[in-house]
Amino acid sequence: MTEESLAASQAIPSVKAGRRTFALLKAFAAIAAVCVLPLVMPINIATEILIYGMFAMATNLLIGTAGLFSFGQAAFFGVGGYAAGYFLAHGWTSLPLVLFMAFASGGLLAAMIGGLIIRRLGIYFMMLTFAFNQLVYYVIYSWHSVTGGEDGLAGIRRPVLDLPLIGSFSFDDNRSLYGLVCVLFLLSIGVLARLVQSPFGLVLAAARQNSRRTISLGYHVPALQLAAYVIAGAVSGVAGALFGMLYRIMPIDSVHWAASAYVVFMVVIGGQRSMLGPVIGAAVFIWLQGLFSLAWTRWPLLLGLFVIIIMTYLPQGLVGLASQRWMRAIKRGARV
Amino acid sequence: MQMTPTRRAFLSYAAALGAAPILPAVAQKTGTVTMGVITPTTGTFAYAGDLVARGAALALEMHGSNVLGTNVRLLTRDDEGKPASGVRRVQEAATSDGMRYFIGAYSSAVGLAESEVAQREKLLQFAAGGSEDFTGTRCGRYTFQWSAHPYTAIRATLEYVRKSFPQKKTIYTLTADYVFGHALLKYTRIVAAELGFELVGNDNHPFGERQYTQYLTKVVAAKPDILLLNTAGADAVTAIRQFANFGADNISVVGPWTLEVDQLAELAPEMRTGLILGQNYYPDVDTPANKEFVAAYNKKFAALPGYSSAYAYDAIRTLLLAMENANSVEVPAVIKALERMSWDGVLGRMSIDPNTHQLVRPYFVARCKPASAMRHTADFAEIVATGNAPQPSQLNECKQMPEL
Amino acid sequence: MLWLVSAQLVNGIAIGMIYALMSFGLSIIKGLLNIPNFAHGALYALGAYICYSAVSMGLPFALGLLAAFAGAALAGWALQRFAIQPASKSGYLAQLVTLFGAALVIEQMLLIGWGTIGLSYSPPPLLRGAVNLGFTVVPKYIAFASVFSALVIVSVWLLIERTKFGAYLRAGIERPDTTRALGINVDLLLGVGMMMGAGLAGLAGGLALPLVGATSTMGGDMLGIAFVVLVIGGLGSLYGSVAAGVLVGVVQSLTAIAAPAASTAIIYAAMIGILLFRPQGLFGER
Repeated sequence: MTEESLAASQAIPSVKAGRRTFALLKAFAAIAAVCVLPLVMPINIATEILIYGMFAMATNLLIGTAGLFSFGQAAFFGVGGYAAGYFLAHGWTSLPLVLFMAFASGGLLAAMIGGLIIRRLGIYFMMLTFAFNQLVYYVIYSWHSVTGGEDGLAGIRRPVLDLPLIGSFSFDDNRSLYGLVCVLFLLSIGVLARLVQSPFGLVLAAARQNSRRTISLGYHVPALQLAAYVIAGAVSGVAGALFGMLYRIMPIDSVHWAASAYVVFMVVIGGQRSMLGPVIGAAVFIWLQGLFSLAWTRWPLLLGLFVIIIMTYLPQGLVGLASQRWMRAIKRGARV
Repeated sequence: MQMTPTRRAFLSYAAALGAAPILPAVAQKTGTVTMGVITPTTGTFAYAGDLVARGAALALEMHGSNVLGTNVRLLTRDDEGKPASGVRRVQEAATSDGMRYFIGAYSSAVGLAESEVAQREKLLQFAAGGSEDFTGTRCGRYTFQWSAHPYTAIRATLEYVRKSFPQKKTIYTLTADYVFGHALLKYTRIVAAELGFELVGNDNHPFGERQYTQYLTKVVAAKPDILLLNTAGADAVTAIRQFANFGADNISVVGPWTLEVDQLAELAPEMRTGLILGQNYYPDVDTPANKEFVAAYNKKFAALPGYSSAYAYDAIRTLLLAMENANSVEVPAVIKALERMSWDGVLGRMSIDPNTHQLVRPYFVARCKPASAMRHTADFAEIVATGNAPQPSQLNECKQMPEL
Repeated sequence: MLWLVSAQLVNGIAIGMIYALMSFGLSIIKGLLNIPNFAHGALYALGAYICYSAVSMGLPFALGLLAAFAGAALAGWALQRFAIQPASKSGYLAQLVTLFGAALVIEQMLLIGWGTIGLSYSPPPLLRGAVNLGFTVVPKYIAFASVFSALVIVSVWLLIERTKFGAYLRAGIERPDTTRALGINVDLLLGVGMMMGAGLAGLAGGLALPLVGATSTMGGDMLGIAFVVLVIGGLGSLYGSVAAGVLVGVVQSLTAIAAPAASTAIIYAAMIGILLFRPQGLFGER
């Protein structure tokens, strides 16, 4: 959205129109894709792709938009999942309640951690997110009576949605849960896309490129970055809750820092400069894991090579490649 | 082994994001029983996965790959030793490959996570692992536990020590700081009181610890007769390696549930010598079924089987036996058959406790040999005792088994 | 109680020296390339495996250590040439992710090359057994490993501070642009620096072989600690990691007296505390 958007805004109106059509097309494509997804793969994998897609989009608000390299997002995914899971396992199954709990706990933890570290820059910020992730991991790990420790939080029930006059709706079936995940996924795309294009997102992006100049223009950059951190944490928390609902268990490895690294993988593979990039990254990553693990017992080697090759030849990620071609096509069209 | 299903699964997976939509139900063929081997081939337990798969494939092969005239196929998936991956693979195999039976988790955390899916999707899980929760707080009608109960393990091991080394009285315990270690410690206290040992100290270490000298310094200073390792796997291997560096030969190292035969090769012979270890399986077990298994395994892989292979072999063999017993390949019928069966398995005469789904089975105590006494490279130890005392039922926390 | 504290102090300093060696390599790479080397753990594991192969071929342990250094250094060079450099045009994050990918590749290659079962090696006869200090016993090998680490660190320090090559290296760390302007081949310098850092990781792996064996996952276990040491020592400081390594060893060892299960959590808490109140680390300059 950086040089491209500048170039686009200065270009002739038809390019602008092209971009708008492009955005609209993307929205349709997203809805169509989530509808088709469960037809082409096991429904739990389709659900997971959307959950991790949400998680990756939230992470990309930090990485791609704000330029905050967080290697500790699994802490929020995990805490949201454990909080919602705890309620669901102990008889509180109201959907709005558990979603709120996940959203609030992810956001609250992010506010606490973010408040302490948001002013740290670059590698210091990165290492702090990593360290806090590990600390959260060890707390969850040791707090056995509540979290189940290394065995994970078990006995999570699916939530129930009580609608006045209509009755209550349960998500026990995997297809209805997929529907719920779809709705929340599309909602987060909508909200996050709006945020990125709002003045809030533009200031964050400006601060990514030149923090000092943005501050001197009068923007309170750390406060905005903190807000982004909290939003990312809250959305990750909801994603974590959905993950717990999917498998009815919240495993401890979902909080490990390796999970944070994997979500960064997804973002970078897919492409940081677009909304759908991280989603594509999540889909490809999860799909490749399944594919490679069937092909060869030493499959992480293939995954590692894939990552190295993508980073060498496609610096903008998979989506970067596609959108470069697209933009070139539009410009060519505009010239004609 | 089983190349065709794997390749088919691979291709359908490859196609999944391609142009051709493969409907999930496609792989569910009528007239085929699909058994899953969901096992770690990467991660901390990477060594176990291939061995588990070998044992399972061998059991099926020796049974003619069919039961009651129905074809049986195995599908193998990598659980990475991670609960999240385990549940993902089990769920996926159940919905898109029609899997109804599965075995293979190596870590209890993975097995317990999968057990949740098993109860929900009505899949029969024949689990293994050190956690007593399988047959305790998190027991379920669809889950059976192959490995011995921690109580059985500690009782058998310490009974041997009491009988063979009557002068050894004091025990220092090193305990892994998670549920498994705590369960072992709990039963160590109970059994030590039963047999008259004195517990002189305990240290908890975090799971995955790679630095043990700080605990071992304390152990050596306390001068106990016995160092009891209530820890397992790579942690235990590392602790034993580092303890060997202290040269404290007068302290016996005892592991009730510490290292299975598969991992003994990880220690150099001089680190191993004299270790007293409880074993879920040892290739020397003297039963007709085990002799048949060892011979077939040795013929096919030119090696001795270990715990991982034996578990998978015996679990699949038992499932096939139960199907024949039930005269059905439907999960509920097989569960009912298992609950009332008694049979000659690899380990001896075996049955299932219907109240907990714990396999009632012997447990073995082995003593490691010095390098000079080893007849071949895998001749690590000899079986010196056998025990099968079940967990006292008043200590069991499995509430009533649900209806099917 | 006093004897216990002193015993743990001795033990902590000894294991801390091994941490220091591991983190020193990380620190050199961070200094030169400005990235935390996520593949450092994999290189450490590689060193352990190479050392194992060398000694099981009948070579003396010293040559095993040398081989571990050389093998890991070579791998480090390849890493710089075929992964980090090509990814550098894709940005900072791409380099990190590439290093993750490289770690996956190396770890799996270890499994392919040496099998899935972990390996053990007992130290040479001279270094077996323990020394009795009266208030505590220290295994001879641990004592050897710490002294050896200290010697290696001192020689690398001499190399960096007292030689012309070291001067180039320091210039490359402190003023990469000026160095380039002076006509020094900075890419070559980065390659050599990467080799040195990776070699030290391999050496630490070889040294740790008698203590923790060789397993494909040993790198991940060590990497967490090495990062903590690096950060506590100060990301901008080349030698801070040496003192911090010893410090972490001692803290870990002392917590074993009172709250052993918390020892891992404590070092992460310490890392957070230091980053918050002294972001440049204990020994770093702003």
